[in-house]
Amino acid sequence: MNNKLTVYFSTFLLMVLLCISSTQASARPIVADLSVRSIDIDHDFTGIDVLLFGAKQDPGDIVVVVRGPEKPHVVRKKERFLGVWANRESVSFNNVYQYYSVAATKPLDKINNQSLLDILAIGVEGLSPASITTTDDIDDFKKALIKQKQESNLYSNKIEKISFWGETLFRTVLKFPKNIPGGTYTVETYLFSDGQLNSMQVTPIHVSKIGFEEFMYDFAHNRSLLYGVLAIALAAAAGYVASWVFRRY
Amino acid sequence: MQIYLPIAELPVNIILLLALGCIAGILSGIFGIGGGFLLTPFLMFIGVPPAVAVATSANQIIAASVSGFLAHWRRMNVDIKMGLLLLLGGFVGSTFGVWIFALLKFAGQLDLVISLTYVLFLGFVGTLMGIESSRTILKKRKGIAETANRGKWVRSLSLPLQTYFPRSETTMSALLPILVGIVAGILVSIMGIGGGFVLIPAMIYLLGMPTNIVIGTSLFQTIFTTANVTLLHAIGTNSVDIVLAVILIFGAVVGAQIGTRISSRIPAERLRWMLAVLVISVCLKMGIDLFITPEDPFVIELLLGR
Repeated sequence: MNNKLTVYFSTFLLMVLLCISSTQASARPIVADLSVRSIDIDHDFTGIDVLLFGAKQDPGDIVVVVRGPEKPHVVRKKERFLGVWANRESVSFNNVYQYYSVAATKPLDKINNQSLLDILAIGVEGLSPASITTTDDIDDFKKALIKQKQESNLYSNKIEKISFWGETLFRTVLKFPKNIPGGTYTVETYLFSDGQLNSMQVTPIHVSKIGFEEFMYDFAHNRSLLYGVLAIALAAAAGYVASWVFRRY
Repeated sequence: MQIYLPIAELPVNIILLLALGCIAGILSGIFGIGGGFLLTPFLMFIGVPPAVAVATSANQIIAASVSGFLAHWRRMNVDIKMGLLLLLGGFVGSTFGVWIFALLKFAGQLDLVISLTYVLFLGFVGTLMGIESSRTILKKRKGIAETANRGKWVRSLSLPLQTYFPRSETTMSALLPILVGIVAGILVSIMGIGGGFVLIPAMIYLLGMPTNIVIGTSLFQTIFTTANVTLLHAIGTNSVDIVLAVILIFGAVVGAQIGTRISSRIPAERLRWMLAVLVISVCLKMGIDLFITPEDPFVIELLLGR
């Protein structure tokens, strides 16, 4: 991975030079790009680091947010009922990011515009997934959802660092963990100047299985009957072969 | 050594999975139970989604059962006639069971009912088996011959279709194994396991079959039950992970062979006693889990099929 990062880093320098020239031409206050535009999941995938690099023309603070594809989730709460713990209340959430991470040049509260950050859904604490059903203690359900996502490393626990080269160039490493779901992720780079949104840029990144992993996934979903029959046949054959191999012992 | 699982969507350690499969296989070979009751929770513990864990365990149990069944078959330890009747009942029972399952799910307390069924049923079966096998072991020590009169009153009921089962050396109504199969099928659909837990005690204590034959016969029936479950999951939830299953199977087939050899060297009543201890331990674990305060009262599920 270090070698890869070195390669990325030289690309980064090159790109930044290009960026600066193009930025000045188009007068965009912020430009950013990623070391890769797609993440391939194959048999030895164990997570990946992606380098985000960019340049800003105006003074201000950079915030980078990565959002994974949204999926509906259910949160159930266990309560004591006749002595045993049973699921009682449940809340369904329609669109929950399966992945969420934030990197910033300074703590988010120092940006001094919490309401704006909330509107843009920046910061794990500010996330408020919309629920289909509701209860009195809905906030506890939301907190539990976010907490469990953090425990499985899918939501960031802290604000990741963004490092600067001089006043203009910045970079940060986006760490995608081993259990990321497939789909299209968005990487949003914001520039806040004096608590106001100066500029933003969105870069998509595609996470997908390739080769054998892609084939198996598609097979299981698109030809499920055949897949099931194959699973049974494989298991039965394995059992038969094993018993034949071991028959003399 | 890590390998990425395409359906579970995460990488796992191959050596760990092989060891896990092997342990499940040994249990399967010794007792005729699939090991699903240990495998499924452990897979969930290492991060495999519950649906994938359940479905893939079922797939794995097929291999372990085929391997164990053939080993028992070669030793003539299978009563096919009995097995077919149990299977007939099993299909009727599991169809009915799936319907009950849907009703419970609609009522919203499926998890709890599953846990309670496990605790009550395993507690009952385990205690019965423990008492009986301890008695037999003690009797043997005192030099009294084992008497095969377990559950004789059941078989002496004057029901129609009296049939002789040469392999089990017993005569009873063909309706009895069908009935046992139906009850087992219902419980299997609700409890989501291979069925050995339900079938083995019933065959020993109600049908009065010799323990060594009971295991081979139960494995025969389990092959078909778990194949059915695997197919239903593959179609319904797309949650069978063949890569995960194949790794587990590698470990399990080896384990099943070891287990079968162990089982033919241990006296029958000792096997029953060991199974009783295992069943009671699982029952206690599940029972305690129902009462202790969970670390996190919230359970989060990804909604499938949208």
